[in-house]
Amino acid sequence: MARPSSLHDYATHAPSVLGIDVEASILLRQYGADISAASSTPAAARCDRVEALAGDGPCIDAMDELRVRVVTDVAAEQSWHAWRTQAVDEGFATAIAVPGEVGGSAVIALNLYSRDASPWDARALAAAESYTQLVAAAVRLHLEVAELEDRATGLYRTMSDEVAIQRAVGTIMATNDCSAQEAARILDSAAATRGVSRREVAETILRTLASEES
Amino acid sequence: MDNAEILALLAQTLARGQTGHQPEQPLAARLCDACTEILGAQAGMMSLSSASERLTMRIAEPAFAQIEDLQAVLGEGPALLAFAEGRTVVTHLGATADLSTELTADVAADGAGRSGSRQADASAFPMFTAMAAAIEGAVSVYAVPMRPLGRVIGVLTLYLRGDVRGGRLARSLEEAEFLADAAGAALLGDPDTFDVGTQPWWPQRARVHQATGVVTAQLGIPPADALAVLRAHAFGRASSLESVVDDILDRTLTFSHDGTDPGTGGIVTDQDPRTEEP
Repeated sequence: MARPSSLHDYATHAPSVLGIDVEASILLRQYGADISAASSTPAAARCDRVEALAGDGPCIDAMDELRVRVVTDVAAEQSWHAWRTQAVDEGFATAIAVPGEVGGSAVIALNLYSRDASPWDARALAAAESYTQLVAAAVRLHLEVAELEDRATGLYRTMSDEVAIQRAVGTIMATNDCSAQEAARILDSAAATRGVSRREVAETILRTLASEES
Repeated sequence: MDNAEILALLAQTLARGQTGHQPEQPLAARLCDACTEILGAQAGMMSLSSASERLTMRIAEPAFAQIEDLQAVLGEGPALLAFAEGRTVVTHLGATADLSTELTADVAADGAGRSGSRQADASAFPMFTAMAAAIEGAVSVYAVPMRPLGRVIGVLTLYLRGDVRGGRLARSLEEAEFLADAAGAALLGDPDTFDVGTQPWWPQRARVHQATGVVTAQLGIPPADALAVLRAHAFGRASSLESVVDDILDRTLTFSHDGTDPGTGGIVTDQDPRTEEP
């Protein structure tokens, strides 16, 4: 298997690495902006996009509380209405959300969806946690490398504020499958909530989603 | 005409435009119109650049927009070369060999002001020259860098058909360069010029940047590479960059990785057949 080089690769490889029949997706939070960054299947992607747009779901809670959330019966779940409805429509029976601290302004969460009743034994949960920490470390390394590269090339720093913001709006449109207005609102909200500039949030999102090895 | 006279002419032309039918236009657009008129071109375009960002300020006439699109799609052309090298670049598209030689000799003879700063060098952008040959009729393109204080801040590009003064500007290249520098100095003093949010053309450019962001996310590549992918795709299907941008933002065109097909560089596209161009 090729070495994963992007969040997309990590999501795609998750089922085979973990050795269980699941569909995976990765949510990325930067400055409070939640982005559905990568998924192994369209169904998992749709669930995460609904969750990111609603700002409500097991991955969101996992990142808020930095603890694993296990959903043993999606259909019976009383919380997270939008996410639950989408997950049931996709045919998922159970799910887990595992958070991973990247550092700085970033957190990730690995969402694993299963169509079986309950594949989450202790071994599977431990493997999922280890894998999530691996992904978080890869994101951290990627951001550090991007920062070093930018010092040399000025790839992001030389971008004007409005160009960086509009490009980040585009990335959020793609990852969260939303309109430009909704993407701009996510960006604005993240900047306002964390007290940083829209440009800073935009630049960080662009750096994270642009893998230098793709 | 000496420099003081050119500045006076610029001021008069700007004042006339200010009292004309579109006084609300931003300074960059009014300067572009004034320079185009003074130099006797049929269309003018002014682009401003901040490092790697090249922003089109104004395309005065749709007839020449095709040439602008071509530069954006290919990433090469007279305006880009003028900006990169800080010198005036002149090219004559679709001209006969005799006329092209004659015009090239004119440019060389007119090169006394900034020694070595002007060349008629279509060979520096071969793809652009080859593609532009399909445009009907002869067109002369003059790309003049704006260099207030010696630093290139943008390019004034002037277009005229071959049947207008044989493809020659109404004034010398030296006067054109002084005028471009003066326009650049005026823009540096205008607080709104570099605030893209206040510019009327920004919504169109914002869509290009949004589409760049979409492709950045879809392929996981840096924005500069994503923009190159957009340009290459526009080139590949012989359409404008704006057309590709529209399809991406309308979700009728998506890019994704496919590691099983090395022939495509691992990148595949999914185009809604209802929207494909003939």
